[in-house]
Amino acid sequence: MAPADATLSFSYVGMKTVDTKVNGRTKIDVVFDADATQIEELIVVAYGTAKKESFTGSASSVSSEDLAKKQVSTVTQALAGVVPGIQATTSSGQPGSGATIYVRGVGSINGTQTPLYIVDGMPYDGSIASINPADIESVSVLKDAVSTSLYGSRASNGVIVITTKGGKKGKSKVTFDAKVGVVSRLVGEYDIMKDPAEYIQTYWMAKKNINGGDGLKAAQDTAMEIGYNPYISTGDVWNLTGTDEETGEVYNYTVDKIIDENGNMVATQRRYTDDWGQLAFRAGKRTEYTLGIEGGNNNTQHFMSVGYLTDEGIARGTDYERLSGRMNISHKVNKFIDLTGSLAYSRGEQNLQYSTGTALANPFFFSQQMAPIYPVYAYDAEGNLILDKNGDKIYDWGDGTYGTRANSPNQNPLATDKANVNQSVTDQVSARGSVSVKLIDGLKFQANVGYDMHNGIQTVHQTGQFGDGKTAGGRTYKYNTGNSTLTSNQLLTYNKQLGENSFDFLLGHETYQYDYRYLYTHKSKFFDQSGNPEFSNAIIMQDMTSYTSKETMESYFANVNYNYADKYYLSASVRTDGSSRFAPDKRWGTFGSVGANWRISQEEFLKDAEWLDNLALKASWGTVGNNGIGNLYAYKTQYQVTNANGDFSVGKAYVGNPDLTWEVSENYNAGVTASLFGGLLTVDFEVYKKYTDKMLYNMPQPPSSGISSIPMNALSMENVGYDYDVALTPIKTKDVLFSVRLTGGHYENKVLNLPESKKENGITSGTQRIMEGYPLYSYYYYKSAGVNPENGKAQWWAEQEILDENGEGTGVMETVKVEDYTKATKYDLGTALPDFTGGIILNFQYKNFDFSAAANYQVGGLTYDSWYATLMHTGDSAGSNWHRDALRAWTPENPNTDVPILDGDRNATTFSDRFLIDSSYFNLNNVSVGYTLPSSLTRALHIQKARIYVVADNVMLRTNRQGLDPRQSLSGSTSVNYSAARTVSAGITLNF
Amino acid sequence: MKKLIYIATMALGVLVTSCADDFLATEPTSTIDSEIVNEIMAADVEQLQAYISAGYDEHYWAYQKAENSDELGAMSEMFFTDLMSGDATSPQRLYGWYIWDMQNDNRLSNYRRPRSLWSPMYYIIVNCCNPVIEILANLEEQTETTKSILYQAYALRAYNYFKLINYFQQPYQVNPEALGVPLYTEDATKNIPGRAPVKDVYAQIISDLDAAYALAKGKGFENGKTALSEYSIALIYANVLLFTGDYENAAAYAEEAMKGANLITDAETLVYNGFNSIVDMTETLWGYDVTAETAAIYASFMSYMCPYMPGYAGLGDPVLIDTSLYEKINANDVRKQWWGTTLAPGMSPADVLPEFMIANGWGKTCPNKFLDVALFGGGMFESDIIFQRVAEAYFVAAEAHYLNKDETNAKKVLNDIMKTRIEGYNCTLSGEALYEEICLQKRIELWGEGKRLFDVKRRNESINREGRNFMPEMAVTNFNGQDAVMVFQIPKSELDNNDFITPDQQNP
Repeated sequence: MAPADATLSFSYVGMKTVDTKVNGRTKIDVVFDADATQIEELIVVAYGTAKKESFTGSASSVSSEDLAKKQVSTVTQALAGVVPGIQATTSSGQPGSGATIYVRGVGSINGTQTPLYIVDGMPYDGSIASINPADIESVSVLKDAVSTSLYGSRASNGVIVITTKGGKKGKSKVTFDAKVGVVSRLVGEYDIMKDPAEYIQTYWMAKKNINGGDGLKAAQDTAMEIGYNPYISTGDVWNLTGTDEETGEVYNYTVDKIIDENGNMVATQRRYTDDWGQLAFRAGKRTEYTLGIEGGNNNTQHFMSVGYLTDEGIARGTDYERLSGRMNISHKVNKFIDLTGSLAYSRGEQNLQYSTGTALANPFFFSQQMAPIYPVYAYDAEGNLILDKNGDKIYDWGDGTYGTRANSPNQNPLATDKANVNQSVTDQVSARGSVSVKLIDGLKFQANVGYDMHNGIQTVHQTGQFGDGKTAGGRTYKYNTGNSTLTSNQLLTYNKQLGENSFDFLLGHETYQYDYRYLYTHKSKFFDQSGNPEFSNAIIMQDMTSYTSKETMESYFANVNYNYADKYYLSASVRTDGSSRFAPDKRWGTFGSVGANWRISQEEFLKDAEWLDNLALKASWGTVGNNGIGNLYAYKTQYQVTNANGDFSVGKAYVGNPDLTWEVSENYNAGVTASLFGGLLTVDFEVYKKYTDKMLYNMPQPPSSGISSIPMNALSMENVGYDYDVALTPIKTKDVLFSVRLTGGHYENKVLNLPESKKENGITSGTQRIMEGYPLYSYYYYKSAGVNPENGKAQWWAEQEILDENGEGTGVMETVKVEDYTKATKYDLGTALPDFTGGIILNFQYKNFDFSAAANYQVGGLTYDSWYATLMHTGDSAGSNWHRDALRAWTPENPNTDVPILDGDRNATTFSDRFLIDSSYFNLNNVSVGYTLPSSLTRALHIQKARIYVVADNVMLRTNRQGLDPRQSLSGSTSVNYSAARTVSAGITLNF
Repeated sequence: MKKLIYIATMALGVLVTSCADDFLATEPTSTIDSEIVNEIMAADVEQLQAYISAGYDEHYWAYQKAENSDELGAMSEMFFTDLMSGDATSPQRLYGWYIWDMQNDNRLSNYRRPRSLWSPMYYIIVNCCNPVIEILANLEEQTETTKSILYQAYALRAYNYFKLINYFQQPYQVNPEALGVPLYTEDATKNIPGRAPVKDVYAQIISDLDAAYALAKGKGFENGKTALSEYSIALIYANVLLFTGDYENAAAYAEEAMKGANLITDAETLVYNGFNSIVDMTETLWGYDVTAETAAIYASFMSYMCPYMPGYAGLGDPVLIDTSLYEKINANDVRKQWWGTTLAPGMSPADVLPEFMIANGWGKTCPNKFLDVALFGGGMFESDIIFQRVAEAYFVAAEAHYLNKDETNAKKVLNDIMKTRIEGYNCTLSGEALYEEICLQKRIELWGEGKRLFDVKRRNESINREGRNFMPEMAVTNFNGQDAVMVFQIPKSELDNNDFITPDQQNP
């Protein structure tokens, strides 16, 4: 019993310590305030937590506060620019899709390149999109070996540790958040032609070039070929009659004069102005509600939440809906036994639409490749809409009914997207349980079990009314997928204090089992064509298959942390993993690490330096493994069975390699962590080297061998780089807070140790080459030499031998321009990997107002802009739109240009550095403004805190070409996928 | 204390999950482990037929491994070869999948055409035929079934090498020493070969055909028409011997192949057959039986060839007969009706040609020869594919006899088939004129069946497209059969990865 006049000091991890005088009270309620600086200092690491200042490894963490400012639907989208040394790519802006994260460069070629995800202590194979970001307490990104090595296998590309919120002791706290917003297109169209006259005049020019300068024939051909007159006819027509020389058939066409023999437009009054790019997209609505309740007493703490999200996306017919619920409980049974458990459920419903690549049903592709001369709806000759008997607009299919489109007849994605179904429904259950028993003083036994289950069903229905499904009377494909991960581990921990020496020991065993099921079914010929996609409505059984796959792993590990006087820290770990992916004698791999941290600020000579809160130097070394070769049974050669009309057909499907084993990376990390002036300036700077050896690589084979590739442990790779995280708070007064955080990272990647036979020429893969001493994803192809001013032909550089007067080679080479690319030389054109990635975060608070802005950016790297190359065609196909750069094409009047003559020569757009573009970008990815209502106002309503805010995500993206999103892949490839979206919302957060 | 440790040990025992070896032993189910396959094959060698079936499938199924509608395996081959050699034309380009074949500009090493013919299509040899031959050729106790599997393996291997050598090199007589194609006769993981000389490839083809024919002779169609039979082997052999100049044997083998089926003699049956069923097209020697499960829909032969269906042809990219060839068809020739707009019996009046076909004046030259089974109540684009027909054997025999200076037999065989095509046909020509007649009638007969290109190459014929009414924006290309552009380049992926083929060994 404390004396009545004592001062009690309450402290809790992540909270400011509260001192309060007892004053004779027997019951004392304390309200903690979160301590922002302290929260960052506690990092969730492998099988435990670590204080940042004592940690020997490299880790960055993102707190729930940082996450709360963003309105991403998937937590991976919130990491770019916040965590130094990571790179995030997003191939699709489809609502509900996340980002792919790469930690400290590219770590593997055909093995896994992405980090291991750990959710609440267990490896997680489920969908990150199913975790409501509002439930997340913190995200740690573990980067070096000492922090990842305890996860051993699969940690070679870093680890992302997601920890969900737990309850806190004290009065129950209820948080309610609601926001409503608008989603719009962030990355718009390329600078394509939008004016029919511009298109028609350019097409006429191309025709003229092709037929040798005959302007009249070009005008007639243009009118004939495009199939539509986008202008109201002036009544001026060509009557083209004649006799076919070969067949003797008499032909007789009447065609509107659209353009004359000099390339001037004849008609000017538009018959229709439909813009595919406008009509296929919309401003979507996004709403999100979350309710969280946390609280507890000394023995039991809980956290419960429900969340509901809807996001319509920007393409018609797409949306995402997620309902999620979570319950986390921890309970102290007695002095010896602690229990924790959590259960989360989430249901996601995603309406997709074909939105990848050059599928005609993809509106992002279709709307840009369609010349601006074709209508979406049916119009009569005077330009009036033709309506059906219900008075609705009729879609124009370009199939001859209202005109024959030269481009993609019988396709209209606006109509098909409306009638087709592509729905994906997923249910995810995630459970964690743990029991921990204190055996003797300092010795603890803990058993953890984690189970994640994911069931998905995707229904793809093509209507039988029109489009691709028409011939079959409609089709439905169903893909049932399910996976489950069961992980259990047993940990024995012991800590011992001997004077100033403190030891932590960990001994553990873990098993991991992943099961996957797949069932595919396909039926056709639907009775009811109004949109019922279910099989009960169809009569023809088309196709069906199913399979399961399984992966298991068993691991033993040990770890020791040593601390002397909070000044010197040492840690060491070892882990051995057995993976089912490798043959029995190649299965086991052992990985280990050591690390040290010296807190200089604790030394006598700095202890009194008031300006210095903390200064630590750290260094680590260790190895980690990677077993992530694509095939789960990569050591086995495998056959596929198909039906040869009732007989078996057995063909080789995969050639395995029984010698395949772990890819190993050796990591060196050294860094400095400092905090100055009471936390007003914090600096983290680290340098690293990662050497990956025995890389999992699918060695390409000659196609004549019937084998595309064989998995091997071949090649090595090195990433050397640095990253930093600097936070500066120049103003911190009672009313005003201003802080800036800068993060950044750079690495150099180099491929080493190619097999002997490949050393000289490297390994070619398409337009890139893997070559010793060069970075991965290096382009090796033709180099554009501009345009020949004499004839407008595209030119490429070539190294050729100089011939003497007799036509004999002289052995001397010269660099020349050639107009036939097959004679051109291939050059090293640079890599897709960036020079630098970074982020800037600003925070500003004035009294009750708060403002924050975050941006991320990339410098360097090369993207192959395949879409630009397509849009720069030379006029060899009618009805395909052009990028407006085609207006600069060579003509006799415009001989000095960088765009070749439009003469239908498809070789002009063959791959060359002309279509490589610097991938640098700047993305203002988040801006939020909030106002916290005065407590005098809210207290009366029993509201502890109320904040209203406006938040915008993906506000702006600047790239080197309008319409290009260079963030799609690490390897530099792009395609016309669902474009990234901007979201602007207004919301309110209430704390009770 | 001791008690606690005891409890801890107990707890560990209970909670530690099993760590037996079999926990880490997992088996694939989407594919089958080669060890299991080998066991099944070893227990019953007759199961090796499954490898050969995979080989047949590959000819047809190649499209499934490709992503584009111009890579339809043997289905593409039936008409891209005619587009290349000038007998067929694609008059406009809405989808434009095959226009580069027509321009004779689809041959460079980084283009799809050479790549998709190379592998998986024709180099299925190494996975489908070689393992069977390796096992069965050395088997001591042969059964009738193993012999049948073995001859199919030899024959399929010979057929594939014959295709490869003629796509990727000039005909045999141009230069037997020239570099041909990599010659695999055993497991590819043991040894990767470079380009073998043309004569070595032919030596292998002939040795395989000898082995195959010796085993197959007298067996008839023992495995049905979806498998290679003695007649198919004879016909392949006859074609090979036309290239090597052994005309006497070429004629003999072709005459053997002629025994495989009767010619259709009824005009209406021939005209409106539709070439969509290996059963109903009674002249079939070898084909692929397409079912609902294997139907390739848009990416199918009929999609391009049957303009009555809403496939590529019906939607705007039909394949027509060259007008000059069409004009050469005798007015009394029943085959003249293989082009035109007359509806076949059984087709409904709703099955009319799309309006654009008539408006553009293509009605006369559009094919009526190939009609999808769906027009007669079958499944959409479920038409069978016919690779070999007995009619071909007659023309091969006639040509071989002629080249063997035996005009009497050449005329006899020609008359035998032609009198079923033109009433009262009786050839009185001789010398060069007779030869031209044989060649012309073969072109008409086998239009759209993928036979023309190799003849053009072998005979070094001129491809003449002058004055043709198609795609005004495309330049007209005219070549001879033995011009360099008629030889495909070795695919880039082969050059990139085969250490035994150097860049200077690439075809021009």
